[in-house]
Amino acid sequence: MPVAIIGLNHKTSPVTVREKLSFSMDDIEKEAPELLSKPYIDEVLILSTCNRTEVYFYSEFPQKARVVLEQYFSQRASVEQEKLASYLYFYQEFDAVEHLFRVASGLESMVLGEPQISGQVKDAFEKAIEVGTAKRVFVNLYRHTLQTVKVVRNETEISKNAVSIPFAAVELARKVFGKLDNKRALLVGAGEMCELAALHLKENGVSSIDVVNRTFEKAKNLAEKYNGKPYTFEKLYSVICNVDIVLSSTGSKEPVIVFKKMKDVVKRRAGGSLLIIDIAVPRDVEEDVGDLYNIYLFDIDDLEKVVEANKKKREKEAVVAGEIIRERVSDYLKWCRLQDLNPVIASLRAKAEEIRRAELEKSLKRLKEYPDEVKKELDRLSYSIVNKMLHQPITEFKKVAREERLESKMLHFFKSLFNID
Amino acid sequence: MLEQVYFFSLFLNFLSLIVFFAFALKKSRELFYTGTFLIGTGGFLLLVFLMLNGINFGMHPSTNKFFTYNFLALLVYILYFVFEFWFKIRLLSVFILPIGFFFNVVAAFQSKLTPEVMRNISPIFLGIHTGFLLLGEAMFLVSFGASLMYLIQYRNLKSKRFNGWYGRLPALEDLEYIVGVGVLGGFPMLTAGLLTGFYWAANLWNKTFWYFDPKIIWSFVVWLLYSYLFYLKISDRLRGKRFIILVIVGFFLVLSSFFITVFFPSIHSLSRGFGVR
Repeated sequence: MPVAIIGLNHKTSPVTVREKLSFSMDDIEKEAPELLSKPYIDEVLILSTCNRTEVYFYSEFPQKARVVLEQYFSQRASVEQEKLASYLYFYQEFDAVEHLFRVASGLESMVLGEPQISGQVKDAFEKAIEVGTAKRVFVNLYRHTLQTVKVVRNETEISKNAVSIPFAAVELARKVFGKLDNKRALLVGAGEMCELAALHLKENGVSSIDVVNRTFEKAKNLAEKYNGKPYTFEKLYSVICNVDIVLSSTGSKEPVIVFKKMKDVVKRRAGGSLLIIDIAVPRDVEEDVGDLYNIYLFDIDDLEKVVEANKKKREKEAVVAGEIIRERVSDYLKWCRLQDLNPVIASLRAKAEEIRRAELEKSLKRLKEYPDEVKKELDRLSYSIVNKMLHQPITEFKKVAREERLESKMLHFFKSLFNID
Repeated sequence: MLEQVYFFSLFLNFLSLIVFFAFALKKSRELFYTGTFLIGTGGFLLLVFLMLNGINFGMHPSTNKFFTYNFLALLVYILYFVFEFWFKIRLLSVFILPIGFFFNVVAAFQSKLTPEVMRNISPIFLGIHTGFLLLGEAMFLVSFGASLMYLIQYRNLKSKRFNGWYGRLPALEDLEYIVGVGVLGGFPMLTAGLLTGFYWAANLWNKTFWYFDPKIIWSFVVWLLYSYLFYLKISDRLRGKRFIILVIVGFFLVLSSFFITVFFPSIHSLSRGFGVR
């Protein structure tokens, strides 16, 4: 299966080179057919994101096509071909398909397992199909890629678990409350990280987010955004009595939420858990508050710890995902080899049938006098001889193809053996 | 032949436990399915064993420790399947099934593996009394299993340990909900079982002080604690770790109610001519 890929990514090249070789969707629409018209290239797929530009191609002569593409890249980026070559990687057959599956599953991404890349791969395939540079081979490859991404997602936890601070806050909330529907949150102060976390909480079902701020105007603006109520700082503790999650990030040098006052809050609260996430440095919440009954307090270091632990988990999952992908690649290649064989087998059968018919007709002309039963028997006899003769070589050939031992030499020999093209 | 069915089921249940422990260490779908298959088969054989005995005997066979413990084990296994199906929390297997198996295996060490033949016993009362009591207690055992999970996850969160089981254990409030289901479901059954027992005893032994019996007094203590827990749950008075701790205390009371007859003579001990006064 002569699929190959040439490209560069954030690991092999600086952004100064990557930007010159980046393709917008419009570029792809224009340049992909242009690439297809070049010699040795039979199908083309261009994948271009901010971290990578990769051209997947189908060619009977991948090494020759590689040179053509390197020249094209060098012209497009106006960088010397030798210099550019040091940034480029090139894979073919198994490695190329494996690379595609790994990219699509997020294993090659800067943030391991990030899910956006599979969408971008999907878009790239759709575009290639739309402009006609993806044909039989790549359309099938597309199907296999989607399936692989799905299997990797279902069988590993590569894309689960938070790997950024705001998402870590959401994860902790989920670990305390389970579902976040109908939970209420409170935003104290307004840091960028805190606001992002609030946004994620909202997306995950939190019903309203109240805001407490030193300046009431600011509180009002933010509260409107999150569908909550604004409060002044004096109301802080009475508001905490009514919420489930507190996100705090003020610029205050002194703690804003203190143990003594929180002790009363615990008594006044209805008894459910209270999650306090303190993203401020210096910290907004006194450490002892975390020892109070039913209060779970996390500071920025704890969130960092969650992220670290999750990253390690993802690395472990990536190993499992890599194994799944290798299995899927050999399945795909096996499937392809059988597909390659189908037209050969079909023409062999057609040829045999043609010979049989010609010979049968000759004989039937000579046997005009004989009854119909004899003629029918002759037909059956010839059919059955031809079939039995062909059965063994075809089965054997398919077996060889399945076991990955089929070389193009053998295919040529097989064709010449039976005189088919 | 029946005994062989029993020991084979015991063996399967033991095997499932090992598989589920392996599943606890190394998360794998195959291990979970294998364990589920084993406990499913083992539990089914146990059910067959108890039913055949019941049919031979003509009534609920829970007349001695062997059958009582096995019946309790079966109820715990069944409840595990119900809870797992309901909440889809696979780790429940690791915390609930060993409790059932504990009774399963303690039963196997009893000397008599056939039901007691007794005069004067009413099959209807026996069935209702033991059935309700054991189902209620099985519910409490399940809530104990979930309580242990709660405590582990609680410790993870309070001491900020984000490795190990932090990721696999469910949310605190979800676990608390499961514990609550056990308590809310178990208490009415316990009450029904006890009331049937009282009514039955009062009719049977109306002129004696049957209620000055260690097992009955202990059961009343258990009932008091769970009635308090039941009240706390429906009135939403107490949430969080303190509630969980009380549930764990309740578990130990239930456990000792089973073994109390070993140390104190009781009308529930067979040596004292249970039901034959």
